[in-house]
Amino acid sequence: MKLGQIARRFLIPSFVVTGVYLVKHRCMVSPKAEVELNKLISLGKGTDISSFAKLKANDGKLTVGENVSIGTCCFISADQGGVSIGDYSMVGPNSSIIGNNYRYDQLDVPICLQEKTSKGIHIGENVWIGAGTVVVDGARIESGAIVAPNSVVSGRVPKDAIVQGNPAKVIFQRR
Amino acid sequence: MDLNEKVTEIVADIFELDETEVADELTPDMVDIWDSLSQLRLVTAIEQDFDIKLSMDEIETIDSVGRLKRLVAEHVKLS
Repeated sequence: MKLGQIARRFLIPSFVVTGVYLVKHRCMVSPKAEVELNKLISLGKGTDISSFAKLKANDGKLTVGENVSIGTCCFISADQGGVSIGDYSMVGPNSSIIGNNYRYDQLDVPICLQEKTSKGIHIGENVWIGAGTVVVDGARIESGAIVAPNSVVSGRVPKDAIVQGNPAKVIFQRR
Repeated sequence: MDLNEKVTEIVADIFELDETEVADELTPDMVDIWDSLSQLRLVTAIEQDFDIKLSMDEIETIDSVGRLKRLVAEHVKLS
């Protein structure tokens, strides 16, 4: 971890972070949430980050649109491929959106020491992600889609589809 | 296989029931796993099998297997 990152993460009080995001981005970050003051993180106007959510961005952009709601205890991590969440989307509590992966092709090297990969995650506008959902690197959720609680999304979710399960499959097309 | 038998088979498959348990009077309250999401799975299976499309208003009126059969019959007649 770089020195600047350590300072941002541990030395800046949370109420300062809340204040900066409120003034600069016009969005509400709970003082109990963990959101770095980082140029790679962009939060849109009217967005709400609930308590105990953690948002981090390393080497890639985390772009959250306007009027997005991020529930309690969510974990969102962006890496080289970036993570984007469109306007008016909702992410239910305890959901994880993880925009990176580890290689595991060398049996003699611990997985955590192998190279990281990141294709990125795209979540469109007006998407509703149910509580406890896991969205993994490479996933693409098109606008208007609904992800049922506790699903695992690893691929593409079509526009206006309702998906459920692990792996998440289309169960209905909104009309 | 007639329409009623086909609907019964699909309902039994979605709600993991024996076909003999699927009566017209069967309602969501009587089936543990008949929730809003499994109802959507049921509608999708019915639509694919009969090549029909129900409106959201119609889907919301499905409160029993009998009602579902009547809806399917109406759509099949129309098509």
